Amino acid sequence: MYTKDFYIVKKHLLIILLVFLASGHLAVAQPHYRIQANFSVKEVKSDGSQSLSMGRVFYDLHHGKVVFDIYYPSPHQIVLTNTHVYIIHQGKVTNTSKAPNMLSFSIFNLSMKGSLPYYGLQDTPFELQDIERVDSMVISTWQLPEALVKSRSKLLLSQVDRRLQGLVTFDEDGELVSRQLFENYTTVQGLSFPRRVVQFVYTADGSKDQRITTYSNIMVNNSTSNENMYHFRLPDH
Amino acid sequence: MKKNFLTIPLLLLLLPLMAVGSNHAQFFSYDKEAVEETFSQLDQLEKQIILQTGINNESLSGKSLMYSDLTGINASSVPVSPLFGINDMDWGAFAWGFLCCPVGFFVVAINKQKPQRSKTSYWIGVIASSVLSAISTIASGFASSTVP
Repeated sequence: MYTKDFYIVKKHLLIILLVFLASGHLAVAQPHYRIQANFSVKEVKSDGSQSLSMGRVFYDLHHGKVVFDIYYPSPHQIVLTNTHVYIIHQGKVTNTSKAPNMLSFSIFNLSMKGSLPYYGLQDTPFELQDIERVDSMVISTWQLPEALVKSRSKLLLSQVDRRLQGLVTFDEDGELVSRQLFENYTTVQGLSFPRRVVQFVYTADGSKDQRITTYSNIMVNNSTSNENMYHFRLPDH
Repeated sequence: MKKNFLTIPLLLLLLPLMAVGSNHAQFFSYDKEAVEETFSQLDQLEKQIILQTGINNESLSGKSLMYSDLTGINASSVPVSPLFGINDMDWGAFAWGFLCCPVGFFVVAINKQKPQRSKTSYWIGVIASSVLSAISTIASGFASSTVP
């Protein structure tokens, strides 16, 4: 009953349908590789001094640099690589300091690699020692193996709804060093990211510095603008 | 690391049996009102800067304003995007163009989520495939015409 042409058209339609399904599936499964956001860092130190920085941050997973493009209080850039931090004023590197693994443990890298819920600790020598639940919060304790270091240094990590909620650090004497609280999560193109990070840093004399970092206008996998920031080239230094 | 992969699911399974309540929980809370009070001056300053500069979330979203404008570098001396080199090649996208360009067209070329470098890599793959195809066609034609 059906003509040969009918079967040919049917076959072609099936192929086109499969192509569309395949492309749709691949688009959904595409990993996160870029993030940008506006940010502000507000800091109040224990001596009462206050500071504010505002700007934008860019990170391309394949390019391996976090670029903070700061416009307040003065225009400059801070570039974070996995080995160094560079400060750039007026197109010249004015300061370089070593920062091993800082990029790997940046919130941008961890979130895009899906390692933020455990702050990437699964991929470090730290071992999970204990886990406990308090209401909706799950608290895990992480320590270095005693064979490596005999200290009371440890990390406490809390999760709520499988998202990183807090990270607490203790030094080798068991003293509290810092507390970081990750709040106001948003989901952009499937990427879960905190819009506010509150940090308390404790000093030996018992005082504490306080810092709040906020992120807004978060964009994921943006390929329409700011290529020069995602592919930032460090000036000769 | 392997140990952690085993330990985490195991401990999560045992979680409901564990005691509820912990002195560790105190480390993950803070006096929010006190913190807001501490940062109130800086919050005000942040709002003023946004108002004075006119820079807000919307104005930053589609604009590339920072680098050349604020560093004092002549914009003409800073390339908007770096030249495309071998290190910029997205080999997956290249493979789509080289091996299966009709599918790659949907997966890469018209996929808005793909960066420009992937799209460029795709078209390089298409061109490379076409050039090789043309060369092989010409060569086979030439070979068949010279066979006695």
